[in-house]
Amino acid sequence: MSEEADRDIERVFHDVREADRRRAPSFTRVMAGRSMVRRPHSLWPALATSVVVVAAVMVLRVMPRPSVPFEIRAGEMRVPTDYLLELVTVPRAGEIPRVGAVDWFPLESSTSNRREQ
Amino acid sequence: MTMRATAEGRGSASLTDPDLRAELARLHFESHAWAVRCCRGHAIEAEDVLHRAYVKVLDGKARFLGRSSFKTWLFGVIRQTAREHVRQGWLRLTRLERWWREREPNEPSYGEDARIVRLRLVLQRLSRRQQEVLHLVFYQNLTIQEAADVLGMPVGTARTHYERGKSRLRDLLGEEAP
Repeated sequence: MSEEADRDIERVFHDVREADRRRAPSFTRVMAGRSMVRRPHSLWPALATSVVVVAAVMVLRVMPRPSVPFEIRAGEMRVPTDYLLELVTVPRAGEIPRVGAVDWFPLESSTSNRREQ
Repeated sequence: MTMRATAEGRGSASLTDPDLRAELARLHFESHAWAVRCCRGHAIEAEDVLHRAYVKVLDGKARFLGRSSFKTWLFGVIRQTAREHVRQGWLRLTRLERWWREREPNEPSYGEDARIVRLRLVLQRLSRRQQEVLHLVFYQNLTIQEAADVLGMPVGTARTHYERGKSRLRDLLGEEAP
């Protein structure tokens, strides 16, 4: 145990101990569980709700939304194979393309057709 | 009959719930002070830690095997519970909760002597290990060997913390003296 020379330190701890004696919660209170008793005042439900709300707002903001409604009507939509099918009916389709011939393509491209329509 | 005698004479299996409860009640003040030390001075966290430690003891999750005194063993359980408490992140979260609770005027305020406040501040300036060893020896009246058992360190290491802690504390008290 402490030696005679340690009386000064013993006195310090004795004084702190006496002060603590007035502050200590009762055994019954600790056994009951302070946190359990006071749970109705807990911050957690409010905190959890806020987290869920913030997360939902962030998800809604991040999700991509179409700016213009997209509708497809019958006969308007063209696909790449339409060009090939139309090519068969053109007389010049059998010609071999020449280097530098800018007018060789017998049909308008599908994109230019769409712009004209 | 003390719990040490009970444990040495009959073994831990014979410790009934009323025995344990009576021992916990007898050592409650010391246990609370140790829990506060393990929680680095946070009284609210200490109360939660102590509650969990008591539940562990009474539910049999922590069993006293009579290898040391009941007090030394209980202090080891409290220390372990405080470490788990910190590891689980509860300490940080309960600080936030404490801030929330302190909005309510149900915390009793104690007008503490200015000298005691100064002494507490001086003790806080020691290293954590020095604080723990000095607390166990001078506050809890344990031997250095028992303090080493509670802290799970070799007795030589505990003795080093003890000597250095005393020396540092004397220096700090000398600085504080008018």
